[in-house]
Amino acid sequence: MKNKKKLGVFLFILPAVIVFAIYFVYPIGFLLFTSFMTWDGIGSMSFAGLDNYEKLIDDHVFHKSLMNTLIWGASAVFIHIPLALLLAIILSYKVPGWKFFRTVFFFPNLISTLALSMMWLFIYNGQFGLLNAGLEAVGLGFLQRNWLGEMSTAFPALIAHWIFYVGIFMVIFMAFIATIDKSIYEAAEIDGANIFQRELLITIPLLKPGIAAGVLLAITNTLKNFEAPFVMTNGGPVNETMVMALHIYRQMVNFDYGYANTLAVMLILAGGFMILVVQLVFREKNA
Amino acid sequence: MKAKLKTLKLGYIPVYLILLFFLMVTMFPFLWILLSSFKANAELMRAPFSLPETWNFSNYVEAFRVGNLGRLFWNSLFVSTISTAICILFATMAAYAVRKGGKWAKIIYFTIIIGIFLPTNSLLVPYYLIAAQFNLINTPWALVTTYMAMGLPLTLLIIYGFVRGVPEEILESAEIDGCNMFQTYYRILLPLVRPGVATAAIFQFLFSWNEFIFALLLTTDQSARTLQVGISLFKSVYQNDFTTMFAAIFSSLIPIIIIYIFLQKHIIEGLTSGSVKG
Repeated sequence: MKNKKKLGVFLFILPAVIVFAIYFVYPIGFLLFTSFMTWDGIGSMSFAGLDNYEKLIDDHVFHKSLMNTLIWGASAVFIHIPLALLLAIILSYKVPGWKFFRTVFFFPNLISTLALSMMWLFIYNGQFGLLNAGLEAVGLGFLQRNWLGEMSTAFPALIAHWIFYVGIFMVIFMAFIATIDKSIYEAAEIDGANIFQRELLITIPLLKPGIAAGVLLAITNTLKNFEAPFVMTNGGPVNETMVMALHIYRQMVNFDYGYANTLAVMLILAGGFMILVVQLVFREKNA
Repeated sequence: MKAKLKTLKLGYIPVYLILLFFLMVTMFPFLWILLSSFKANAELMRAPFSLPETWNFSNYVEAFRVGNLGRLFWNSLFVSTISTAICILFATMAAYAVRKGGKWAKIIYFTIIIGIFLPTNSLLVPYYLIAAQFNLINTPWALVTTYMAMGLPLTLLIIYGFVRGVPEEILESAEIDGCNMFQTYYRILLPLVRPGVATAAIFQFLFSWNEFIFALLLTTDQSARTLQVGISLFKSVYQNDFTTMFAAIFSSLIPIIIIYIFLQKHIIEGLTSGSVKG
C-alpha cells in the first residue's frame, strides 16, 4: 500500500521533472560547459579555456549592455515599483471609479511587449510621431527631436515607454493592502496620524513582503528585455541602447555560440546578483 | 464604520490629476494607433491627431492580405492552446504529487519554482539546439514544447497554491471510498482547484500568445510563424506603409482585448488571491 502510494507520487511528478531537467537543468549545465569552448554551432567544439571570459573584458558592447541592463533594473526598483505603490494606495481608498482605473491600468501588461514596442516606435517617430505632434500642439515645438535616433535621448526614451505600465504590480500591491487589518489604521487615527504618516509608517512597512516580491518580479522582467531595443532601436545609435539579451542574440545569429553562451552565463549572474541584493536589503530591514 | 475610516481626507483634485495622467499615458497610444489605422498615409502625415476623415477599413484588408495574418492568427492560437493544455496537465499532476508526497517531492517543487527567476533569454542557444535535436525547428511544436517548459514553474506555483488549500479530509475520504490516485486526481482534486486552473491557464495562454524572441528564433517559415513575428516583419518589409502597419498591430491586440473583457474577473482576482497566497 505504502509502496503503491510512492509509485503514484513518482509517476505524477515525473512529467514535470523530465521537462524541468530538459529545459532548465541541462541548459544551464550546457551554458557553463560551452562558455569554455569555441564553437560555431555546426562544427566541432574546441576547448578555449578562459578565452571567452577574457573577451568580455575588451568587449565594450558587453559593458554597455550590462550597464544598460543594470540601469533598467534600477529604474524598475526606484521608479516603476514606487509608481505602482502610489497607484495601489490611491485606488485602495476606493476613490470613485477605482475599478475602471484598475482595469485600464492593467491592460498594457496583458499585451505583447512586441506590439507595445511597435506602437512606441511610431510615438517617438521624428516625422509624424505622437510625441512630437503633442509637443507642437502645446507650444513646446522646440523640444521636438528624433527621440530614438539621438544618443542623448534614445535610452531614456526606451525606458520611458514602459515605466508607466505598472498595472500588474499595482494589482499585486492592492491585494496585499487589502489584507492589512483595518483596526491598525483606527488606532493610528486616534493617535492623530495624518494620511501621509499613515501610509508611510503603516501601509508601506506592512507591505514589505509584497514589495519584495514585486521588486524581484520586476527585476526578472527587466532582464528579459529584448523586444523594445530590438524593434525600436536595434541597439543603436552606436550600441547606445544595447541590452544583454540583444547582445546574446547578435552573437548567436553570427554563429559565435561559445561567446553567446558566455554572455548568457553573465546574464544569469547579473540576475542572481540583483536578486541577492534585494534579498539582503529586505532581510536587513526586517531584523 | 471600517469603510469610513479608509475614506479619503486628502483633496480629490491631486489624486485625480495623478490618475488622469496615468490614464492618458496608458490609453492614448492605443487610441492613436486605432484612429490612425483608418487613415491613409498622407492623412497621417498631414494631421496626426485628428479623427480619420473617413472610416476606411482598407488598411485592415491590406494588412491581412500582405501579412497573411489569418494564417498567423491560426498558428498563434494553435501554439498557445496546446502549450497551455500540456502545461496545465503536467502542473496539476505535479502539484498533486507534491501535496501527497514527502520531503523529496517538496524539494523538487521548490527547485522548479526557482525557475521563475531564471532570465530565459539566456537560454537562446540551448533551446534552439533542443528544438533542433527533436527535429522541431520550423514547426509549431518547437514553440509548443518551449513555451510549455518556460511556463511550467509559474503555472506550478499558482496551481500548488490552490492544491495546498484543499482540505485533507476530502482527499482521504475519496481514498477510503476506494478511489485510486488517478481517480482522486481527476474526479476530486481537479474540480476543486478549477479557479486556480483558470487563472494559470489564462496567464500561460497570454504568455504563449505574446512571446516573441523564441518565436523569431525557432520558426523562419510562414507555415509555423506566429502573429508576433508576423507583425514585427511589417517594420522591415512594409516600412513605408505606416497605417497598414497600425492596422496589423491593432489586429493583433483584438484577441487580448476580447479575453480581457470576458475573463477580467479571473485575471485580476486570480492575480489578487494568487499573490497573497504565494
